[in-house]
Amino acid sequence: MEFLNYMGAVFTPFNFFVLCLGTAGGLILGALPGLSPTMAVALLIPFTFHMEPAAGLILLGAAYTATVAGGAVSAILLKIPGAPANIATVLDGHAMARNGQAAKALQLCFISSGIGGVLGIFVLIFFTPILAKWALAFGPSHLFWMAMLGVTVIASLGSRSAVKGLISGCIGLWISTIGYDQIEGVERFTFTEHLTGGIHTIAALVGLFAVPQVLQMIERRGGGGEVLAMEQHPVWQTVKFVFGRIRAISIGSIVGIIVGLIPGAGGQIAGLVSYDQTRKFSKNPDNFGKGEPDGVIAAETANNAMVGPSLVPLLTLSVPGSPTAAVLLGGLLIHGIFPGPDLFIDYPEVSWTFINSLLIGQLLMVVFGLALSRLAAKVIRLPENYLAATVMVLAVFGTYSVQHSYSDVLVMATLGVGMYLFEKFGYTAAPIVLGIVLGPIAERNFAQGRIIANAGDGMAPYFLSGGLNLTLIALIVLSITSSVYFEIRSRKQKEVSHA
Amino acid sequence: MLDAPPFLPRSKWAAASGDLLVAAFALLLVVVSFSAENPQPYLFPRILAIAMFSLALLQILIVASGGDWSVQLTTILQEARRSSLAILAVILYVALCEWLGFYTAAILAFLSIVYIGSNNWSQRQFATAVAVAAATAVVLYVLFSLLLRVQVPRGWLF
Repeated sequence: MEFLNYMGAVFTPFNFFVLCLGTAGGLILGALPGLSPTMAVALLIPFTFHMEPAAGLILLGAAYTATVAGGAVSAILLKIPGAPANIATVLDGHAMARNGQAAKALQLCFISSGIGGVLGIFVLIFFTPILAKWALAFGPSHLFWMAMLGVTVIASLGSRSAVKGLISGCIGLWISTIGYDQIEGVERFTFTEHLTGGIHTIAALVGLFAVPQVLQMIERRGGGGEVLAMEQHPVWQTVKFVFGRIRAISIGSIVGIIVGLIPGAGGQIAGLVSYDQTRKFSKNPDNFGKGEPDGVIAAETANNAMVGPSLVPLLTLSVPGSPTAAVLLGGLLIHGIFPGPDLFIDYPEVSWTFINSLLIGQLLMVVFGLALSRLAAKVIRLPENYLAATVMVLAVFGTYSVQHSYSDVLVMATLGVGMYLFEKFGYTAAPIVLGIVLGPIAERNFAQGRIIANAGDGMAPYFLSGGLNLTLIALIVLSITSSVYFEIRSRKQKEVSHA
Repeated sequence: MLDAPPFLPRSKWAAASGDLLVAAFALLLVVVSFSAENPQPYLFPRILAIAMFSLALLQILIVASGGDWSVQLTTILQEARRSSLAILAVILYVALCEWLGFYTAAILAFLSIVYIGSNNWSQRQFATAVAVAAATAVVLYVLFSLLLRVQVPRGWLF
């Protein structure tokens, strides 16, 4: 119960203000179609740079949690998921709204998100220290393979094409080597003076996530759908209703927690698997897709239950469980906090305050979410071109503010425009970001491992032997082969349906 | 089977055009890493460049064997044409913001992006956009210059 010792830190006036701000802002950002949770968190990182580490992480954590829940608003009212995690919510949430139950659907979302979220955070609270103690045994070779596992998992499972995902991961790892070499201090790949100091993580995060979304929003030219009307529905009735749907909540929570613990699986998988399982166990499976409240409860419980567990591998092993967790890792690193086995030994106050804030943030999310559901129809009417313009100017100011460097702004814009074009060829930003964030960890441990190996039996025995090394290598191979298998299978299914 | 387009060989290369660029870039990195005077700091990036090159070749092979038709160059060009003005606006904004001043450039960029992203543009919409752009600049000033105490370049305007 160590976490309770640090609970007070969440309630200091500034930290609590930041938590409320992050939760309310995250809900609004999540509700806006076109703004993903990953981009929202990336855009907030420059602001946290000027804060104490605990306050900065509270803001990022609150935004992460709230954007996932907020994404349900546009899923229900517009049939456009605010985030991939809300895909399953569209199926019955929008149908409920069409049946004149939009307010009830939104209330179901926020209440079930809160329940799932709290359960997920408890998993984070109890699992993280156990895994951290186990990870204390890790040496340089294990940490190197861990970093490589982080990149390959997101690259292979988080991309439409495993090979393209892996290429993106390599590009990210290579970008992290631009600038001065950590060991010998030699300048590498600095083709222009703007790259002499390397590529700052924040410039890369903002550029890779924000600029492509700005350009995509303009490309769509405000093609939003019809916003459905809201009815009056008492909250207490919805609360009573949700607590009567134990089966949907249990399935959502269990699936969300399990999926969250698997790095790279993501909220959309949690939501869809939970929705599917709840439908299978339901007494009225035929009602699903036609506005069945259990479908909304299952999807939203699962996608928020995965938030806490997705941070377990991040905080203990430096392996982010989702692209947003990868951005959070960047946020931790810029504050000089290195997640890993020593996290709770070196930074117990910051770590526990952050985790506690996630727990309190879930409760605030329910309160703010229920309030937002009254205004939701107005919020999502914001025109996309205005959103795009706001995001773009914030990206420039935010990036500049970190180091007062115009070079960072140039790097941010170059990476952003490049990523927008690169996405057209089927490549994704998440593995590149992960490569940039995990690159220095991988290279540092690779170099340290090389020194140890040269003093011993050589590189191959050091990096390729031992139970833990072999397990990690096996996991890397498994993540790649499984995604290649699923890719081939889905391609064959498409071929059959085209035939 | 998926229907292959009538101009098969050409479109295969078109579908792999992004992968070809990656392969060429990775090859350049391999050459740069091997030509360095001190090879030690380049060992890690060299391994990455070789992996990137090999994977790009594998992806080209997958496309050439008809395995991945998800990318169509014509679609990419159509989409890029639609957003070319926005790309230009972003580039001009970033290129000129230091010279014009961050706040002035932000107002101009805001107006440009709103204009490019709108389907129709009336005098009333222009007035709304100017008002929102000016309000955004004020919010940015309060947030960055007053609260965060970030001295952004003022350029020759503001």
